[in-house]
Amino acid sequence: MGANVSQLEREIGSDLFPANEHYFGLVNFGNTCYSNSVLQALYFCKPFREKVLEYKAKNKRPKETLLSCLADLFYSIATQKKKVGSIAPKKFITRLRKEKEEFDNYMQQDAHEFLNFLINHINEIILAERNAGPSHGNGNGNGKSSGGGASTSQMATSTASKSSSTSNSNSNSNSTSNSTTTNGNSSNSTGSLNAAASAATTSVLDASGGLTATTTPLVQTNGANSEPTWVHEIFQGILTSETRCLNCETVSSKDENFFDLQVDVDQNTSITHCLRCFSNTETLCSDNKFKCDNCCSYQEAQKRMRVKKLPMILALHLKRFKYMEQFNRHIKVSHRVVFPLELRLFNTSDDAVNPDRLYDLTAVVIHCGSGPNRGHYISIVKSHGLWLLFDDDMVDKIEASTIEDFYGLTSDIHKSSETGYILFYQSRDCA
Amino acid sequence: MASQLDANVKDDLKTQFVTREGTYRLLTLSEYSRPNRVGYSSNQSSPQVRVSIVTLPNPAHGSSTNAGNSNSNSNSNGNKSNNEPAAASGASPTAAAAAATTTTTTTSGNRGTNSNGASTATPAASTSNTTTPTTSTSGGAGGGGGNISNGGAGGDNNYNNSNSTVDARLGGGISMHSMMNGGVTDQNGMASSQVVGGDRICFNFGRDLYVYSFRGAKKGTEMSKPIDKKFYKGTNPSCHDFNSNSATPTGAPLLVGFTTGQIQLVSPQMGPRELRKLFNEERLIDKTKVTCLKWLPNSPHLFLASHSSGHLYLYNEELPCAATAPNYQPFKMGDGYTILTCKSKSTRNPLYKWAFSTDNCCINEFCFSPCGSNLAVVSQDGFLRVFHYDTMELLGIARSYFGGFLCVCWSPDGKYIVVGGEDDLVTVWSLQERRVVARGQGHRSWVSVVAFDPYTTSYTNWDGGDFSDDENQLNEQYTASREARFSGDSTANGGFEGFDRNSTPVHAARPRPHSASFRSDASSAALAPDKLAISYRLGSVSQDTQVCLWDITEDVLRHPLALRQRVNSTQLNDTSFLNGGIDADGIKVIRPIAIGHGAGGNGNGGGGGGGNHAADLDSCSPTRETAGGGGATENSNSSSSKFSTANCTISSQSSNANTPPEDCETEAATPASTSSNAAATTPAAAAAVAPAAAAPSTKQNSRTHGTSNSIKFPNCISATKSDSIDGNASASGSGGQRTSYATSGYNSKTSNSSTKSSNSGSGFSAFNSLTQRLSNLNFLSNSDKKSSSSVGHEGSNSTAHRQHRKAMSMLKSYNQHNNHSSNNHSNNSSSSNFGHSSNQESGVAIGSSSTAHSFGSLKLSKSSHNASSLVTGAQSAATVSSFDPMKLIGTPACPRFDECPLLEPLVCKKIAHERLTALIFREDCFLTACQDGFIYTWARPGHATHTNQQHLSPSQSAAPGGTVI
Repeated sequence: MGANVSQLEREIGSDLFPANEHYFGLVNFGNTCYSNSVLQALYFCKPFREKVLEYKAKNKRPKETLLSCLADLFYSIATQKKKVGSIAPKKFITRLRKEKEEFDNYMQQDAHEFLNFLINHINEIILAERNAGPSHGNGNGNGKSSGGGASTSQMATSTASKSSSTSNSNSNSNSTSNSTTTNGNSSNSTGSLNAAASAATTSVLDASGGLTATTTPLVQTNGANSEPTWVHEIFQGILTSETRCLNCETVSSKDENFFDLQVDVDQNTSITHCLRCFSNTETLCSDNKFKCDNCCSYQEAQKRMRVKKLPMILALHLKRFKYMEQFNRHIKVSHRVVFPLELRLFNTSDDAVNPDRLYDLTAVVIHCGSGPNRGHYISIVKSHGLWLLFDDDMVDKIEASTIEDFYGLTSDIHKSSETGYILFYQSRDCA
Repeated sequence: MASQLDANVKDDLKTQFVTREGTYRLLTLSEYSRPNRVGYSSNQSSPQVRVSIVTLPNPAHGSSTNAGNSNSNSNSNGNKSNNEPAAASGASPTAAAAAATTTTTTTSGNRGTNSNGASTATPAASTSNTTTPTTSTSGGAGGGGGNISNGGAGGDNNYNNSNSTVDARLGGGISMHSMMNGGVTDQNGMASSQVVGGDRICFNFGRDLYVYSFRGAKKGTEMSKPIDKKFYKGTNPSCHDFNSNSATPTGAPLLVGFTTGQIQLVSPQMGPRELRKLFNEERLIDKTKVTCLKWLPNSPHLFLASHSSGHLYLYNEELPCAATAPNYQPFKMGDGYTILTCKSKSTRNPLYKWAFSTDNCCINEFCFSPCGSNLAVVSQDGFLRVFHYDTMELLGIARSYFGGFLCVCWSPDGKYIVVGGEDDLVTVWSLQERRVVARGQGHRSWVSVVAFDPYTTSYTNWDGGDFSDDENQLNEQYTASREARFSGDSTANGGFEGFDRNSTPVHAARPRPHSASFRSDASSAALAPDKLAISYRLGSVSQDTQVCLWDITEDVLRHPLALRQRVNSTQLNDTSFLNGGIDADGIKVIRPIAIGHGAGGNGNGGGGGGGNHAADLDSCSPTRETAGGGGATENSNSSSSKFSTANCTISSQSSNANTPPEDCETEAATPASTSSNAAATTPAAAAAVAPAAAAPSTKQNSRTHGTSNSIKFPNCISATKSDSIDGNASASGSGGQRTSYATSGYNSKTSNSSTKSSNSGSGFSAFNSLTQRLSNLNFLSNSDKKSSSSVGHEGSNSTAHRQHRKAMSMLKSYNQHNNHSSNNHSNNSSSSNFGHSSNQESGVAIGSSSTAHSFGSLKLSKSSHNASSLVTGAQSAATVSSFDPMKLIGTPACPRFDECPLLEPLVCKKIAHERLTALIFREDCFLTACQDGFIYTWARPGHATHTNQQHLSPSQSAAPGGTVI
């Protein structure tokens, strides 16, 4: 290990080694690579790291939360004397196992599930702390549980207790049908927020007005809820789902928050294509008819989801674990899906604020192996123009051209594969 | 055996598809791969499988390279100017005169070769018997008799000798094994004559490199009998290129680049030993992968090599390889690039090193224009850079929507460049306008190869007799200018040999590069009016395992850039472009031809505009329905509102007081535009005038809405042929764009109604991408055309004529007003271009400053194209100052997605299970290669059988030699 890291330093070269940057591997505590890989990816998402360190600076003696553990971990990486090495995220893992039952074992977990949990949980913590004491508060103290129009509707739809609904929302969002899957930002279930949003924001557009008519912005629901946290600012985007009733041609749209987009993968495609498919028009018919407010009845309708607000960091989850009924389990889809180092979205809505936002690939969580419950997670990250591969406690410099190896396989002959699983794209205008 | 093995796998793969020309068929017997086919082998991280192909001279030409040169000379002429067989034969005298001056890229087309070969060879070849049954191409000239085939055999035997030994140590312990296949060469003269002449195909797969005799669509392959095969250890071949210029009947020099940076020259020589040379052997010049290799278009000895380091090197294969690392000194600095030359007493390789300033600038491919004077380079940083090669001036740039550009190809006439890349798009860039003119969306993954199909590109032409005369003249002019350039190159030695052996850097030795290149530019400009491509055919293959064919028609290309361009400028531009400075009477000449074409119909035959458009209409109509259906926002009266979009645009275009005839169309358009739009449009349009035709045309509009194709047909023709109406076509095309502009907050400062009309469309901007596709435009604007153009066509042709003439005269006077330069005939177009660009600039005020910059360059470059000195071109290049994609978005180098016409593929078929890596168009077929190491031959319509190859009609034939990987 020691030889390896010093070799990394040599490889990069002392003059080229970025100042104030530390490349530290994370020790594996028994199948915690799912956490290690995601944490590394998040650490190299600059805006996220800065906010976490900022949190650390602001909260000198916080109550121990997952966020405080994360902040400690980030802080300890960032303040290491050595440039490279490895560090044991013991406190974080311990805390994680306390926080969430599912992670309290030595089994392999789904990295995306973990990411999803982590982000939602951090957001929750921030909100909770904001409510608890104005001393911490950069917010206005208007917590989401404190009332407001939208939260009533949330309450109405979500009766589950907080902790269990969190886990529900995670598993829900993972199993929901493809094109509409999003992760809600609230700790309450995704569904409830969406329902609230849909109720509040559905706006009927007259035919001539077209799509340019503004839909009620999400801020209304959200704003009533609380001022957005920095987690929102970094990861949250807004999807708008436009539904056109085939009977009256009325178009209604509703907005949904997301922290990441979950896209289906097809063989020999690009992530661009997968995202376009994400926004393909689907027809709601037969059992799945749409309740048109204008017609006051269930009608066939066409629906599609497009991105209305592009997040600062766009996290894309490639749905590589598919449930196969004949095997009665999830199997891995190793399809070759190429992802460029630069990305713009084709599936933005017309009222999107910054539809041609340019994203740079900053990190990829890679799944190695043959199935969801076995194998290994590693991550590659871009830091100061260098590409680094983090494999638990090992750090290696890689050439950008080796990213090609993580696109996937064009044939199904090989069972095992190393494939990109979560892609982190960072908007260039915030870099 | 081959096809059997694949039979199971191919179930869901297409083995044929239909376009308007007919059916393309996969020739299962004409597959190329490794001789011993094994099952699937993972080739995931191996270098891209690439294909090089070359047409060897006929044995009749003997071993002299001159013959080869004159051969390809005619090709380049054909390329540059025309595709008429007449041109080729006409060119032959000049070719003979200019004997060794010009050449083309590796894959020279066949027709030019044939006819020219026949004429040049006649004195030399006394007996013309065809000893080359293998190829369709070289049939004309005849075998050279015993000597040559013996020579060929000798050469082959030498191959044999040399292959038994392991030789050619590449740097760093890399070795190469070459094996000749015994089957062919070990046999007697009979067998060896089989591989004399004809075409050669070369491809790499993993660590292997194979050369086969390419037999086109006529014959199956003999997979077990490669002409040459090489295995490399420690490195993989990554790219290769034949030199068609110094090809002999037995073979052509082949450059091979490697993943580890070395470059090998393998050359079939007549001498005792196969020639092998290594460049960058010790990797002192560049350690990174060779990404693209190309022989210079006119040189048997110079070649360019690009590396993934982002550097481009010029080598002279005759220069020895120095054992020391080169020291460079700057030779020329430009905006975002530097050209270095070696600092040493004696000239050494590399002669030049090109370096670019952006990060991550791995050059993925580069390509010389058909005329050989321009170089297009695409790289991983997402930029297309176009240089005038000799002057090393940056002519223009384009930027991908996102991600790297992976491939590039010039149009056969050198006017457009198409690039493909990691944005899954096919992007068309205009050299004349320095802007992205269209994007094509249809691939599901990265586009790995784009290629124009020169044989399916349709051209206008004048009536026959005049044409060929012009042709000759132009060719002479052209070759003359080329000659001038080369004699300029090598003043000291004079003549071709001197040029080649001249060890001093070419550019340094040249006394008057500007004037020389200017001349060639002038001649190319002069060619333009005679030879106007109406519709370009484009092919692309992608990592999504699909092949797409695209048609890019005139109306898309003429399409002004969104809101930024004022109306009259469009008209001026179109006018001058189409008429090429011929006065109003000229229209009469054009028009009948156009109609004739249209009536003749025909996909293959020369493709009048009418034919194309009609086809487009056909193909698009279903899609258009979908668009409407899938659309969310439309009125119940969806169609009418759509039309209104187009209509409004027209009205905006025509609201210009300059062009009375247009106003009729305006009137027609205005009432048609519906509801909310009408409010915006009508005042402007009405203010603009000419009440006359208003009411009737409107009626017509509503009446003819939805009529059959036969009625659309003439309209389409008129759209492409007649100027003002053409303006409409493009205007309607721009409807979508304008729309989106308004949405995105771009409100044109120009007060003409174009902005307002854009409001009309804003409701539909959601579906721009659907409706914008080119064929849709035709369809959508169909009713407009009915209303507008049909005023002339269906009703009163003469009126239209008069109107057009009036328009012309108006335009002319306008030209004169605007003219910055002298008013002579040839300057007509330039003057209008000036008007054009200045107008654009006024429009640009809306855009960012960088927009203005590039528009400035646009203007300048136009002037340079129109025979002003290239110095201005240089200045224009200097104005392209920003390589920041964040700043380039929304500029002509990288329009926003909704600002640019969006094409949909004519054909999009999945043909493999692995990503596709090569696409080459040949006269009778096209080739695709797949990462699994298989090269497939697809017969063009009518070529699938074993019948003799027919010469297609003159108007359809296109530049030979435009084939590119």
